Amino acid sequence: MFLVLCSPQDLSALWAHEHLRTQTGSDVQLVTSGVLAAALGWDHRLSPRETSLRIRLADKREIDSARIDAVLNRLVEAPIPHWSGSMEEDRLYVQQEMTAFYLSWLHGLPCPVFNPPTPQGLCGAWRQESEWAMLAGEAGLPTPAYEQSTRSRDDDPASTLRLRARGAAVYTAIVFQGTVTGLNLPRPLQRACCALAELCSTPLLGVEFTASANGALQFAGATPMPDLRLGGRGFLEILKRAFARAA
Amino acid sequence: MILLCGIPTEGPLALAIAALEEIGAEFLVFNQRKFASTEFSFRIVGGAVSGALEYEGRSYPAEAFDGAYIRFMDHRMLPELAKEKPGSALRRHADNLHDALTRWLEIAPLRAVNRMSPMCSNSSKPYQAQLIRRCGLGIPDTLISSDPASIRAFSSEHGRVIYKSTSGVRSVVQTLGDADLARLERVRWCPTQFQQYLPGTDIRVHVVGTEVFATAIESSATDYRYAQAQVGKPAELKPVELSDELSGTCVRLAAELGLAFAGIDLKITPEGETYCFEVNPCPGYSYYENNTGQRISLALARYLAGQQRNAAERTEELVGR
Repeated sequence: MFLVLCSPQDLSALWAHEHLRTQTGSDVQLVTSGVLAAALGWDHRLSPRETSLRIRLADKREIDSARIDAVLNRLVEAPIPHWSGSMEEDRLYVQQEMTAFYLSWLHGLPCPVFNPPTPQGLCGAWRQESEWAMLAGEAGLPTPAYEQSTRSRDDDPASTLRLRARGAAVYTAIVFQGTVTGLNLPRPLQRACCALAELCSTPLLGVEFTASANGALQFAGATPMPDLRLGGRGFLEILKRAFARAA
Repeated sequence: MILLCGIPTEGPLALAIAALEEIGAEFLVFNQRKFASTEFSFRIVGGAVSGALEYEGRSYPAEAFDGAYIRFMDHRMLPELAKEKPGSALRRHADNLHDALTRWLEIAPLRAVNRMSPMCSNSSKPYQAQLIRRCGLGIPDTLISSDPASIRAFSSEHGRVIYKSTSGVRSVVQTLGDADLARLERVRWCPTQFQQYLPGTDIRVHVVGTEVFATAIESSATDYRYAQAQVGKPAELKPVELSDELSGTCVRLAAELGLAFAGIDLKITPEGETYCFEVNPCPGYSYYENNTGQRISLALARYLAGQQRNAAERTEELVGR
């Protein structure tokens, strides 16, 4: 069984699920965050030797970790809609508990997970722009200087973008399993994109570029949650092959 | 030079300052409460990091720091900001300074104790338990469930079961009792973590780079941190020696988690089996040092000053014996 985990609003994951369902001839289950939130029962066991997961869904499906062959994981957060009416203090506590729970069961799945969860993000690590600048430089991507100073008196320093000009057009390449789709990049840039995905242990990575004054592409950021549709049919074929290998 | 960040009178930071003075290391304490007059900037060009810290009338190149002990408290709670309105210039400056310092410390080529990213493994106890198990340490049988029937079966299987938070939020470990079983339906709202109870001796192991300090904790409480409240008597602490193999495993575990300094919670059962409950990535070691005289702070100072041997070599030496 293959799983696609995503929000019901994640159009690109729904697009990928539809392709996998119709093209692979396999059992490809779509489990949205809304369905997970309404699950009737969860059992996640860690014994001294093994890890297991069993979820009983309200629509009578049962997810057993031993029966999953591969997962497309697009979960950004652990859903807790049933706590929306509670006090903020309780809601924040439950959010942390559920995030910790999701991180553990996703990590414990005994099959390929694209992307595997990390403590910095359930579908792969969300990094600060400064970290991306370091990693991109190490990977060999042309990267503009990153500068940050208290003297800039930013209103919201945590979300200020420093690698790209405000309003600049962004071009995204999708890296998956050592192949780049979405942008027709020269070979050295493709290799550098793949090196970045390796360095940050994120097999499915969106690498963002802006055009410099002379028109050359330069690194502008990266995301573990790119719009998969940018990768087109090329991406879907690679995804299909990755799932077929896992079966 | 070594940079220490936080409130200088806070226990762990105060002990580290004293130890650095003892070994004659050059260091600078950035007192968070002096944020208003502090400026910091850094830049990354071609993978190289540079910058400058302006503190108490002097400018320090960021490249001059080769070690950092990070004990920041939540700057939003600083007394200097208590009367400041949201979005005030002073609050914005505090946000900018702490954001810039935190980002720089995450990537700066220095001995950092500890960086933020590796500390996050502690945000999920069962996730971290899977990393612990991979290192060869035992973990207690654990069930996270929203199903009362599964929890009852788990409880019957083990006889005595405890429950605690799944996340890094601190919770008092409690034994599952009749009163809890009577309200077990409530777990349907949020899967909850249950563990087999393990009898034996609690050991806190502090790993600092390659140095290991083990402390035995004598208490009959379910959670020794709350021994006074649970059994009316505080826990007793005493230094103990671990086998070379177990010491090596602890050093390797801390290294695998990316932690230069870690507080590892072990339990040695009466049968001599070792289990690991969790790894604290930001140990408040002063409680242990003050009660046992173990010089954890001195090891920390030596690590920050670059006076320790390579962790991989030391681990091999310990495990290879």
